[in-house]
This record gives sequence, C-alpha cells and structure tokens, in this order.
Amino acid sequence: MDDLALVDAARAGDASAFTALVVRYQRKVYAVALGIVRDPDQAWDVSQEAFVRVHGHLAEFKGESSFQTWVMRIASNLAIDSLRRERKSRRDRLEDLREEVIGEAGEGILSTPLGLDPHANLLRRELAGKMQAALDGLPEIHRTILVLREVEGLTYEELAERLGVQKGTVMSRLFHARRKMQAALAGYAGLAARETHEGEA
Amino acid sequence: MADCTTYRPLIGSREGELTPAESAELAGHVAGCEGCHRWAVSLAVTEGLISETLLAVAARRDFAPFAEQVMARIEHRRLGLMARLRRTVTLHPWFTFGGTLAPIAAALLVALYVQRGAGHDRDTASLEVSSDGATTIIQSSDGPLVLIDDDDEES
Repeated sequence: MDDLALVDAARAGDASAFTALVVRYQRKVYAVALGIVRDPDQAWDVSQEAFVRVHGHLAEFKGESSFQTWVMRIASNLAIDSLRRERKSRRDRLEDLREEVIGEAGEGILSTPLGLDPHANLLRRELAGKMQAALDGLPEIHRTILVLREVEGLTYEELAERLGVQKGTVMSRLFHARRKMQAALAGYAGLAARETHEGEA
Repeated sequence: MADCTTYRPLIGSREGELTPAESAELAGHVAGCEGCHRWAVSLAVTEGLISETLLAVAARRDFAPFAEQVMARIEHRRLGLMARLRRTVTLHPWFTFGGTLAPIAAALLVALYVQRGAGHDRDTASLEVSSDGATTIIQSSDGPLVLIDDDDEES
C-alpha cells in the first residue's frame, strides 16, 4: 500500500494504517534526529514526538510534498527546537573547535593517502567507522546543516528556508562544516600523524 | 587563493543548484587548481557516509517497541485532552455552560441582525415614486406618502 493510501486510511481512523507509516519511516526519522541531537534517548523521544505531531495534523496533509518529506521536516524541526531549548540551559562547549585544529587537515587531506580516485579509495571504509564520532564532535550549527543536507537531502534553497538564512550563508556554513568534518575524520583516522611521519621520512 | 575561497564553497553543489555558467566556471577552476581538486576528491570520498552511518546506527537499534509507544503516546494525549475537558466542566460548570451558550447566542444575534437588514432592504425595494411636477407620491408598504412642492403652494 502506498503512503497516500495509508494516510487516507489513517485519517479515517485506521490505527494499523498509521502504525504501518510509522514502521516504514521510523529508522530514517530516528537517523535524522540522532544526527542533530546526538543523544540516542533524546533522538528516540524526538522521533516519537514527530509521529505524534504527524498524527495530530493528518487532516492538514494535502499531499503536495511526499509523506516522507513531511515527516522528516517535522522531525528535524523538532530536533532543532530540542537543541535550542537545551542550549539555553548549557553552553555549547563544542563551538570551541578552533580553526588551528583544522589547519591543513580541512583542506582535502583525505584525498592524499590513497590517491585521488575516490572509487578505489579504501580509506572510505576506514572513515565510516569514525564518522559518528566526527559528527558528534562538530558544533551544533555545522552538525545540523550536514545532517539536513546529507540525510534529509535538502537543497540549498530548502536549507535556507528551514534555517532562516540566505542561500549564500547556507553554502558558506556547509563549506565550514565539511572542513571541520574532514579535519575531524583525518584526526580520528590518524591521517595527520601518518602525513607527518611520511613527511619526516 | 582568492579564487579558491570563492569556488570552494560551490564544490559539492548538486545538479541544478548552480547556473550552467557557474558550473562551467567552477569546473574550469577545479581542473586547473590542485587544492580545489583535492578538496573535491575529499568530498567525494566521504559522500553519503553521514547518511550511511546514521542509518546503520538506526538499523542496529531495536525498533520493536517504537510504533507501539507512538500509538500509546497518541492515545495518552487524546485521553489527556478528554480528561482536561471533563475536569474543566466539573470545576467550572457555569463558566462552561456560559462558554457553550456564548457562540449560540452570538449566532442568534447575527441571524436576527441579518433578518432585520433584509427586511429593511425589502421596504426600500417596495418604494414606488411617481411625480407630476408639483406633487410627488411615494408608495411604501405603510401606504402612500404625498409630497407637495412648497414653491408651487406659495405661488
């Protein structure tokens, strides 16, 4: 049964239809929430709340965008709101990631150890294991924009609208987020050290 | 380097996000700039990894109770709303009674006003005016009203 048929059935009061929609999107919604809030329990809570909100507004769903897009938008907005509430009660220590830590590592170092062919790059497998830690170490604004871009798949325009900033700001913020991510990955994968040793040899 | 700071944020754009002119310009720069080429390759190396990683984490988590918990939350909210309504009615019966009657009273007043307005229109619509120069006769629903020109009377 496709999403719209399930939405119609859920609107008519069919609880099993709504359950089917939840099961269909629960992991992706959780993945986006986790990417933004980091804490697994908080992500679980945000994901469930997203589906509760969706259920409460089913009558307003016109089908102009896909159900998945709608659910993901609600989930990521809730995750961002959750972070904002949290930010009021504690200072975001992660914003302190200094530029000098990034240095050269943020300038494409991941391409150098195994050559310039990304398809033949075994490094990718190594990096995959470090990705979550690298993502968790990013400042909130950079982590959020990367998740919205990479997991939710938003375009520059959609990001600008969602985050309430200009398209140019989106592109700039994404660039800095990627630089920090590359630097963090290089650090986790020990590439900076490897580079240094190679240089000394 | 000034070029690089302009072009590097454009690397990683998806199809359709840059104009054809911007895309061509970017491609030309990347082809001739080792730093930007390395940056583009670095992005390609990690492309999709964030999504893969987070979905893999989600896949490892046990989602068996998730949907059931969502439905329980929905039911809890629904019952919570009903309970709040019941409590309001119990604690403030007259306020609730008044609150229920207020929209009905407002609707009745509006209906009455509209009806009167329509009646007025009907009276106006039924007026018939005839004149022979010195005398004007207005036929209304309340009977004829004769208006005599003062100037003619004086002359």
